[in-house]
Amino acid sequence: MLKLNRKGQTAIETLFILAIIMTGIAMVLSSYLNENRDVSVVTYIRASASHACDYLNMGVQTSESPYSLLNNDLASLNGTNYQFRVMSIGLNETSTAMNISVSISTPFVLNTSMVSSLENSIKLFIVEDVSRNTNMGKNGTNLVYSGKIVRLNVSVVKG
Amino acid sequence: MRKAQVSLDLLFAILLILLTLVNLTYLATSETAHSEMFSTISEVKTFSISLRDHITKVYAVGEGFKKKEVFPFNLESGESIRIHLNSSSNSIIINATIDGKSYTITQRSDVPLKDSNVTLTNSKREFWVSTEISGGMLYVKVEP
Repeated sequence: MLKLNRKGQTAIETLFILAIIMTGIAMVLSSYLNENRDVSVVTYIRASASHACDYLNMGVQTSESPYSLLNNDLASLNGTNYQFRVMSIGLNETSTAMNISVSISTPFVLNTSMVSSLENSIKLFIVEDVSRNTNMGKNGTNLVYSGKIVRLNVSVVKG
Repeated sequence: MRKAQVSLDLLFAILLILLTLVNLTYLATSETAHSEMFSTISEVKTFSISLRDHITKVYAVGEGFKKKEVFPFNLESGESIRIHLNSSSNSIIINATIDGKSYTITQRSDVPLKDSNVTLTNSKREFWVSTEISGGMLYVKVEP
């Protein structure tokens, strides 16, 4: 009789402990996944942006997509190495969208039309490259990741 | 009972670590395509720079000097490199077709060039850089 009673108590204790563990896991897991997703998105975009910079610095045009998107700008850079590099990446997240700003710097001065054309084609390149090589999708001109729209803002600055 | 609790915690911890690892592996595999292309780009770039240097050297040595050039990388059948010297823009234009993709690079030359072309294939990877005098001026050209 005593033995049976003890057994019942242990089972209830275990249930409580299990419940606490489960709640803890549920709390940790969602924020962990969220963080993991943000880090992935930023890493993908950073890698892609630095590929675009490497391609522009190298000065060799290729027919391979998506690199061909940068060929017009590469031609107007006229064989000069502008030493582009990814300076910073900013992430601003809301409940429905992620706003990512990529800042690319060059020590040389570029004219305004060239800068806006570069910004535009680097953005197109990143969207095309990331949607093709990773598990992020494309919705028209924007990237989509697990139901959130990723808005890219590329800026080329002297610095 | 204690044993089972520990293993449940441990399983979830392993799950989270695995998730990160899978993510990293995924990123690494997607990088391989890029690296392969950048390796070809670097080959073409290296070749274009050394060719430009050799053209300048041939010009510096002067009339009657010829230098034999060999494309330093392997070419498969169907792959080709076309070298074009353009006298009007004074530039060296290299068009490469490697693995079905085309690569183009333009290098500006400091010395006067004569319009000339040469095409390299897997059976013919060598060509000559030579000079020619026309109108009292020295020009550099490429010839098969």
